[in-house]
Amino acid sequence: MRTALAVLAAALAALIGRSLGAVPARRARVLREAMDALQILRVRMLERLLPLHAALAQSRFEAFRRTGERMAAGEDANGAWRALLPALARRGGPLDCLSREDLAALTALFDGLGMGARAEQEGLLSGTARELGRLEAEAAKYGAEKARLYATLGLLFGLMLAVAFI
Amino acid sequence: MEALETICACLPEEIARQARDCAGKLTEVRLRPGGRPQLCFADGDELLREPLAPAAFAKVAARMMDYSLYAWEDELRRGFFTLPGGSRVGVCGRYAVENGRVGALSYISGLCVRVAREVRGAGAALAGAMLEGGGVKSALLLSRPGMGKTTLLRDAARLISDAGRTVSMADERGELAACRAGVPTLDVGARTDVMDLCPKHVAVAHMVRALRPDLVVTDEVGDRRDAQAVLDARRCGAAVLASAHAGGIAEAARRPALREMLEMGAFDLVAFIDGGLGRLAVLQAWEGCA
Repeated sequence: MRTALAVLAAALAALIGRSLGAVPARRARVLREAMDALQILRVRMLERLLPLHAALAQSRFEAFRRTGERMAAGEDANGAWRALLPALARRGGPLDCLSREDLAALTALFDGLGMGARAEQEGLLSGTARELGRLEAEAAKYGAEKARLYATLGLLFGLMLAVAFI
Repeated sequence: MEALETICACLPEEIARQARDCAGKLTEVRLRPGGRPQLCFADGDELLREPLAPAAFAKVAARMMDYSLYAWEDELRRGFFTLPGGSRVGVCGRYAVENGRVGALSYISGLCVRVAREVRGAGAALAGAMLEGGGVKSALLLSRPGMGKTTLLRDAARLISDAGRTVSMADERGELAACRAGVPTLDVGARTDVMDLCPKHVAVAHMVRALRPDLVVTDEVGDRRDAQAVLDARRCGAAVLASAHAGGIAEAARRPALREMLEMGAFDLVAFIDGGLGRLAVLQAWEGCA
């Protein structure tokens, strides 16, 4: 009985450690999704010349889609994004795993979206993609390290509990 | 009136209110940053009391372009864009010009919004004359700017389309059908296909080849390429309804591109608007240049 409890405790602790380590990995994943969405947004905006609200509303990336839907009511991109940001970034929201730096990069994007000619928009989108790429690489590296660390800590703690039980 | 409501949705509240108050006679709304908004009518204008602040003007321009300035670059280079509902917005400002080619617009210093109107029945006389005798005759509609040419042209196309003829419409400036995502927002007839925001000489050639129209409709023909496209359409068996700026038939006959079309028999009828908005002063069979 004690052995079984010990094994269970060790496994549980390892799982908790692993899930804690998944949070940074989720940040990297969301940033990758944002970068993919940005590429498609570029095509819709600059090649198909869709109005910005339509280009955003068709996105699979929830933050872009909701911004586009809000813009359809008559707001500009900057106003729509800033109004939505608290809900997107709070706990349980689609961007809750992003850091302040990540959100600042997206906010800088929306500050300029739709406001300039094609060449300027191209520059803005490329610059944002580069910035998100840098943040994603950072998040992926940090995420991998944290995942290993937390999983290991969890396992160690579990083993300690197991020893204590036994 | 949908076109006016679309304009008012982009304007500050007070200007929109005053525009709605004179909806029946309003022909244009002119805006300048820091200047007093101007409401224009057929017989004069009114300058509103409060000037429009530059920031508010920039917001109006951005809203009119759906906060998507990048999507309107080609139109801005040509000096205008079209709102849903067909109202044309003329743009004035500072352009970058390189080697004689107009580049990007740096600053907008004025907007001239021409209020589109759909007047059912305006084209009845012209459509009737074109359909007389069983077939479809070709017609050239002339007038000075701002006399309702486009409104009359659109309604004539609608009537001919609803009378059972297949109509192809080359809507280069988006004013005839005011398409949004390919769907006309103005009634141009049940049997009308529209090619919008495409140079008319390209659109006419494409539609004649691909759509087998009984009638091709196009607004403001004026240069050699337009003339060639009209003549090619006629050679392919399609009738043509076109409009052009001219102070009269004699003036039209002096312009090279129009003269070429008239001399080559592109048109069976010539109509001239004068004496009031959309009022046909002349509608006659074309018997050749003097």
